[in-house]
Amino acid sequence: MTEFEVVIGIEVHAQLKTKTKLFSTAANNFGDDVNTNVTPVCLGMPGALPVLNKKAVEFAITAGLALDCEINLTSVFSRKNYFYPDLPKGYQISQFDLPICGLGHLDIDVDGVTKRIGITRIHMEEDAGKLLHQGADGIAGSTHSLVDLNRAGTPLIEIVSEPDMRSASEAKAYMVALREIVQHMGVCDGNMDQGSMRADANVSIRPVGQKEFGTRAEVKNLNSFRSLERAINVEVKRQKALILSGGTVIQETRNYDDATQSTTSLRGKADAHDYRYFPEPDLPPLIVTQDWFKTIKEALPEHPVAKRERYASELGLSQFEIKVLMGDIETDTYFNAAILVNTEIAPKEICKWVVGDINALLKETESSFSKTKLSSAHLAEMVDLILKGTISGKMAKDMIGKMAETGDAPAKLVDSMGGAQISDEGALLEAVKAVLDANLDVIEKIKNGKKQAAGFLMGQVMKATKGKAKPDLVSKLIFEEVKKR
Amino acid sequence: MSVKELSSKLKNRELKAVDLAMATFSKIEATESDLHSFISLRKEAALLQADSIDAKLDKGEELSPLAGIPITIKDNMNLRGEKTTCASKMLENFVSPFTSTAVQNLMDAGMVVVGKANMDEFAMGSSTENSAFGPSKNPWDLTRVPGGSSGGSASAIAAGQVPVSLGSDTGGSIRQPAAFCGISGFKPSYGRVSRYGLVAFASSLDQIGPFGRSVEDIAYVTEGLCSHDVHDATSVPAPAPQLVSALTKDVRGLRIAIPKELFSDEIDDGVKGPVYAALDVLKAKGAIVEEVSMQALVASIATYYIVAPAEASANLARFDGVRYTSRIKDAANLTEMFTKTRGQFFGKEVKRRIILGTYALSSGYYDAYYIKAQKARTLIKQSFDRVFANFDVVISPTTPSAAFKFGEHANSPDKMYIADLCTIPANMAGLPALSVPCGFDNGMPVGLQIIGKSFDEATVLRVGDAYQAFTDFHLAKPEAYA
Amino acid sequence: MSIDKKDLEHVLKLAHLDIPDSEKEEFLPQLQRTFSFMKAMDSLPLEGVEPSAYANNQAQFLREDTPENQADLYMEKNAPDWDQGCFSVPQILSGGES
Repeated sequence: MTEFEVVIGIEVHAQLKTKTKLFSTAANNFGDDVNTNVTPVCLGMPGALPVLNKKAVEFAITAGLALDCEINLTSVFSRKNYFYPDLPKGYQISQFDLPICGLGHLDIDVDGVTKRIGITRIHMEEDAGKLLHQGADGIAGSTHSLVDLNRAGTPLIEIVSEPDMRSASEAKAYMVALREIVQHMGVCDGNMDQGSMRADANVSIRPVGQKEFGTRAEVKNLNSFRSLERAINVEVKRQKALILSGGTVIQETRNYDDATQSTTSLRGKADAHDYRYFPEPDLPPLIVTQDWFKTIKEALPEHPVAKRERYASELGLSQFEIKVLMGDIETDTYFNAAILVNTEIAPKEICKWVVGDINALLKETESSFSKTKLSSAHLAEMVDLILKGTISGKMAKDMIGKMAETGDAPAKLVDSMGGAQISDEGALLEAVKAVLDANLDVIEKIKNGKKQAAGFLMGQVMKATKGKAKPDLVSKLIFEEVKKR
Repeated sequence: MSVKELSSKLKNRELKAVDLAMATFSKIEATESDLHSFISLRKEAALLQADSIDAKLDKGEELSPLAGIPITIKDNMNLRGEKTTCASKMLENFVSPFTSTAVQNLMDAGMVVVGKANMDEFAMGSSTENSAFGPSKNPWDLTRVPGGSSGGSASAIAAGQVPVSLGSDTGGSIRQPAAFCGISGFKPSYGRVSRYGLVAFASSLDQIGPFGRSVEDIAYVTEGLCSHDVHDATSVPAPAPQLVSALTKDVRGLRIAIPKELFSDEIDDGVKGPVYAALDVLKAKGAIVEEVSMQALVASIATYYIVAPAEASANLARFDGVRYTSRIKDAANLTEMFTKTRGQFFGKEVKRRIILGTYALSSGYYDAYYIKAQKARTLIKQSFDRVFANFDVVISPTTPSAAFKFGEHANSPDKMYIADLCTIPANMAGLPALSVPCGFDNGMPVGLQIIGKSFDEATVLRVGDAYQAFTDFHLAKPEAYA
Repeated sequence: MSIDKKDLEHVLKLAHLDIPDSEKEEFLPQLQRTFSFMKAMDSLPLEGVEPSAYANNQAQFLREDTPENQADLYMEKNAPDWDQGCFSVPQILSGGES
């Protein structure tokens, strides 16, 4: 039986986190009322003209630099012509011949092995609007459709990879790494469920050893890591079955449906496209001056690879902690805010709580680091109280739940939770002496070398102080007192 | 009366802006049924505007010389709250929610917009015969076209309906009707006047400019029009040029190139005669005239009728029946709604040009037509660069003939395209170009075209103004409207 | 090379124009005559010439990332079919298609 090799290239559309759209001054916001974030430009009004958002250019270049791309200091916008109700001008403004970024690469980690995936290009383009189909769940069977142009003109970068991936898991690893880059470089929020990052996968197979690529199908509509992985596997299976049964794969666009876990051809809809690209006459060439380029480079946020290294070597974080922080931009942002509150505190002490108890609590309560009432400042305060011995670790665990619930400051909670830990030597010594006086036999045992017997005494002291004694201090005092007797 | 005279009368309160506006509307009402220069009038709004200018002038406020002067704008320029029809059934009921920067600049200067002028549909044509609402007439001979596409803006000036007006020029749409109607018309350099709010025909060629009885009037309006506009990425970040002060009436030492390609056999002798005579006048006043060859100009029309329709085919794709246009009733599905709406509400010339442009951009023909035309455009630009290394202006006839009769080219639109022969090159190279009246051919006005270096509006207007100081063709008025 | 009937039909489809046959018959010879002008370009030395897409050699002006408030955009007033704050369009797929 023929062995096949899978070949995958991925195109990712990432929405840029600008305040306004790519070519209009309308707000670039998700989830607002229909047709409210629009201007004459978004509506394709006669006489309206596009004017490029400077910030979007900076974000595109930032993404390009993070992916080691060549930056084209002169780039050009074109019109891509087609008719659809969500495309107000009858053309999409996109970069075609000369995109802002050329060749680059991204290293991914697959089962502990690093693999380099080539980036072909990154170009800027505007998103289309949204259609709300009426009278049916989707387009099929709908009686009419409503057009909402809030999304029309949203700035996108399209990141096109080389066909360098050989499995669905590599594709997923690529997507994860890419999301980490755009998030940590601050150019895209990476919210796949809101469509801020969407992938199309070009999938083909070829007999192992064959040099030429097989015919590829483009699978669209991949809005999560899971659907990306599944869709590729499903499509590979389809192509294998097709070839083995004597058929041939045709070059086409296919839609992935996560509900049925199948891909279907979009041929019926898209008749022979001829997009008639030509340079957008409303936009002269985009020239990035050396000065501007230098400014962008100097303001470049820390690259995730450098960040990982710094977290390990400078902050002493564990690989697990780093993985949790880097895997979710909100967690990382929270952590970085918390460590700035009080720079006396070792970041590692903060991190422990972020990736551990707080992370677990937020998952449990279906909250998140951006939504929780437990502010990063309060976390820093709490850790400070622990380190000063004011509260115990156990108390802190209880406190986290309360802080997330009420938003109260740790200092306020210390009292309502029964007061601070007893760390005053004088006060504790009394309790220790009383316990020793009542347990002379145990003292004997300890003197005879059974040091573990001290645990009993410790328990008695804790009991006497209602658990508020500082344990290491109690332990120290017990041994000191035993020695004296 | 000139802008300067009106302005001074308004300023010293001999004349009220409201009275001037009223008189303007009276003149329009008396003549409009013959001429059809307008698509819509806005009397109430205009009188309110005039009234507010009067209030300011009464208080002695220092206003722009344009304050209180009535103007009409071509109906492809947006003015908030007014219809912008582009003389098309497609936009018959479109009320614009925003105002063009150019129009706003003039209104900010206090100009009173009296109405919106007739034109060829979507600015495509040379006669206004393509207006969906009927053509405008040439005040010199009502059986002849006023030229186009800004024909209504030109006929309104020639008949004295308004003192000044705005047109747009993509391949000659200001200069050609100016020539046909015996008035002055000016296309500034590409990028000088914001295109924001001007309904696009061919974005890399379109430019707004004024019509007036004299170059001096044009200088006043152009100063008011120009600004850097953050809503137009092709708008040049430069202050408005000082033009009125540049009108020195001196052409001594001026170097004039006359390209033989623009004096070819396609140009009527009845046109060449007055143009050569005008050159003699300038020579007599100290200018130097030399013939040059600009070989690339032979391909002007070919280049234009690819580039302009190609851009237009995309610019007019937004008229699809979804958001603000007319729409056919009872479409069975989306595609039918798109194709029948566009098939029904666009006029023939617009459809022909969309077809031309779509074809030129389509797969398989892109290199043979579109790219070739862009290369020819480069050569046209280079030929101007070469000439302007040694000359200050290029002078030619504005049009190959004087105004033709209605219906003369009805069945052969391609013949009408020749009318743009001399005007297209300035659009291709983005240069400022002026047409001034320089005589008559069988009683119909003939225009002289003066093309200048990029952004050298001052020299172009200086030459035109000087010529008008030496001659009085610009003072001639059609008898019926004198 | 000039436009023929088949090309015309293709282009009409691309341009989303549905015109009557009488117009097609009228337009075709007119368009062919227009394309015959295009020969004029062949007399020029175009070899190796850079194409110009713009009138000026200028850099693109960029704007700051600052939102602007909008006045009423007359969306409802101008819309051929307005429904629930949106532009409404007829069904996208006809009966048989899916």
